[in-house]
Amino acid sequence: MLGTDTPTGVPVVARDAVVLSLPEINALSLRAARGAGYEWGLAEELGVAAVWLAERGFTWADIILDRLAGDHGADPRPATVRWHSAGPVCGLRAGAALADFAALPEGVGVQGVEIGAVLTPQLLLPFAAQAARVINCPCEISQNDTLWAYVTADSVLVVSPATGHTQTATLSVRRTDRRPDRGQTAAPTTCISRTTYAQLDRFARRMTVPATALSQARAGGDTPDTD
Amino acid sequence: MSCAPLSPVPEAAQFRRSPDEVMRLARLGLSHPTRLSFLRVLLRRMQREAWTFERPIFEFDARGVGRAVYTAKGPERTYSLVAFGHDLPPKQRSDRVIATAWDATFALFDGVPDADDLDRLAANVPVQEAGRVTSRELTISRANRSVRLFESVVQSLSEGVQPDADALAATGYLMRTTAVYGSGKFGAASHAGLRDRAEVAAPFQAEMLTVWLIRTFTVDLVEHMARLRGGDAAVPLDPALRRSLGVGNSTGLGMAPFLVRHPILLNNWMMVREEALARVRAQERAGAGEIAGLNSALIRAQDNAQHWATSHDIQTARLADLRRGLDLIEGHLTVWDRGGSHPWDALWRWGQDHLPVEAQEALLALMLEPNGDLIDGLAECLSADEAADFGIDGAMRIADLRHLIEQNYGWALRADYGARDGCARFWYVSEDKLEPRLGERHDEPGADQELPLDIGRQAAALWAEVQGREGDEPVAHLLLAHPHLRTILRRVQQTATRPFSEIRDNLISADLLPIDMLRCKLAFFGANRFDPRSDRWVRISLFQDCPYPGELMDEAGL
Repeated sequence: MLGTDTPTGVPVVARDAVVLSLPEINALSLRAARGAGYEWGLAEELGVAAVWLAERGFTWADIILDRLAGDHGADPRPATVRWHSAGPVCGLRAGAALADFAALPEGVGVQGVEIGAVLTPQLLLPFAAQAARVINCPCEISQNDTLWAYVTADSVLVVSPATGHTQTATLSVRRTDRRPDRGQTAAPTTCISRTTYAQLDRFARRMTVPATALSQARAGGDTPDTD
Repeated sequence: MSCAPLSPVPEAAQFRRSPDEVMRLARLGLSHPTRLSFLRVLLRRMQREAWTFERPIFEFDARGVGRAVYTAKGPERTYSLVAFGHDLPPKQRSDRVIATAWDATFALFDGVPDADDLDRLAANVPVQEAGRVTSRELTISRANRSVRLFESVVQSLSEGVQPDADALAATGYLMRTTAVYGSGKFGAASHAGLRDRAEVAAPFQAEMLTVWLIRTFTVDLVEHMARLRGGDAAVPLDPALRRSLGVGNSTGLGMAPFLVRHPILLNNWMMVREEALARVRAQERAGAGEIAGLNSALIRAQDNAQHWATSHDIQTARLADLRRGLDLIEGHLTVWDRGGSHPWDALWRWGQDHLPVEAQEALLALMLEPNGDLIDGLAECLSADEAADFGIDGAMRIADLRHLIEQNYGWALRADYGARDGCARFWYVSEDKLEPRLGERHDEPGADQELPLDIGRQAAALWAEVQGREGDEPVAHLLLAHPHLRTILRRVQQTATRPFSEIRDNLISADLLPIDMLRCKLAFFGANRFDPRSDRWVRISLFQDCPYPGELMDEAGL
């Protein structure tokens, strides 16, 4: 799959687009995150988050690319009620921390948590869903004090779509008694442009290693079949 | 494993082997296929559900160029193997994953393809990785003809003469697959997306169906080419010879990391097998039918061991152990106290004391064989929703994490990863084919892009980090400070209820034999005649001595 700049063969939708399976979305995002320098565990998180976003109709590739190509941001510093960070925090690291601290005082807790400025804010959504699963309660996410989305363990409902399309936003997450009666019903976004694919693929290639003659020989030998 | 509370043999718990005994490569690398192997699960289901099979399209010229469609119709859905035959110059014939042309290429299609589907597949399947398929396809694969057998069998049959049985037995297949891609590869349907389909819910069922239908295709093709060459003089392959043929498979390092990257699946596969053994050992009595079944299985195993050929030094020694061990079992069965209490357990314990490990694992397969009623239901527990258990429990206390490491990673803490041999290897993804490879850390570049398959070393690093921390501190704090420990911490948490999820050996040590990882996985597929060609690639055979589609309903003992 990643062996060419863009997948060849028959694109299903259009000449300038490619349809990826969900496992391919996971693998491409994971490898790209690793290629961009994220630790393996966080790269794995990004792969799963990309699938979560794709399944719910979000423009996952643009979101992932924004995170990988953009400012790395500050590390999150979880604290009770309001997190303290040295600047806008990385959406992936903030998301992982939101899920990790979900059931702890620094997490969503009873009164919610102000995360502060987050780079690639849409990346918070799948991790907020993880947090909702951990605390077994729906959560609402606000941007700059404007309600943005509800999430449960399995679903998301964006109530003010325009709010999400920013590269940095101040986010807060809190429990809610309002379980959205419906989730996002958009079709999965498995089709992405070849240009976007090529950009993600370039990141992914950074985690590969040129084969040496020794490794090629040991992988199977170069003699033709005789059996 | 979710099936455990439903066990009809609760007393089996006291007969289970420990993960420390089972999960070592020195034993995993000697695994044998069992009746719970994936291809057996598939065959039993298709027989139970009375699947029907047809060949609506079969158009090939005398060189074997053309296309075919084979349909497999189950109670709810139909799947079709679409086969393309090519005329490959001998110089291009290679088992390597870097090959770009093959004698035959295949896709398993969801439903029955129409003309447009076939045209689309014809444009993509023959070029394999360079093409794209869609969610209508479950697998794509390719195969090469056996240089030793294919042409000679066509020629013999065209002259009205059956091919030499010994030559057939020496190779065991007419074609050898060099890759069978499934679950989302190159645009195909994902396994997770098909989980609500019972017939493909167990692991690798679509892949096994693909290979089983390829087996029929290989025989149909040689008979067809023989007819075109010899006319009325040609004869079909003798049924007994036909039955002895399987599909070869050539497998390299690409398969090895799977067992490490899917710890929940590995756990389920191992738990199913180990629970099956424990259930059999827990039986107070052995019935006459089961004893007869054991004896029959032993005869088949001895026959298989005689026909199992290899030129690899390690496997040659293991084969000698197997043959000697099977003979010891045969001798012991004449004095086995089958009427005593817990006779299966007594047989197992005798095997532990008297058999080489290779034959111990063969005895496991033999003991499962006649006890299908007791264990076949365990096949329902082979699969796993890995995404559902992906999340980390950030609230877990460091003390509990320490306990889990002590419980399940003691093996990892004993290795010396600072020693030259203790970290001699590193796993990586190759730039050219994006395939997993194994590098020599001290001699080759690339270790900075190492894949996280150094599980033991990571566990040791996590262990070192938790030493100086308060026991009641949540692990979320540790992850915040040390994000590089996230992968191993997730794995350690997963072992809390899955003790068989880790290979308990140093996978970057100088003495690692990747073929041991390959054999473990291939045995779960149901492969036999394991024939290593080096320490990191291997040839095997699938479906040898199994029924063909037309024989399935009459087959006993599946």
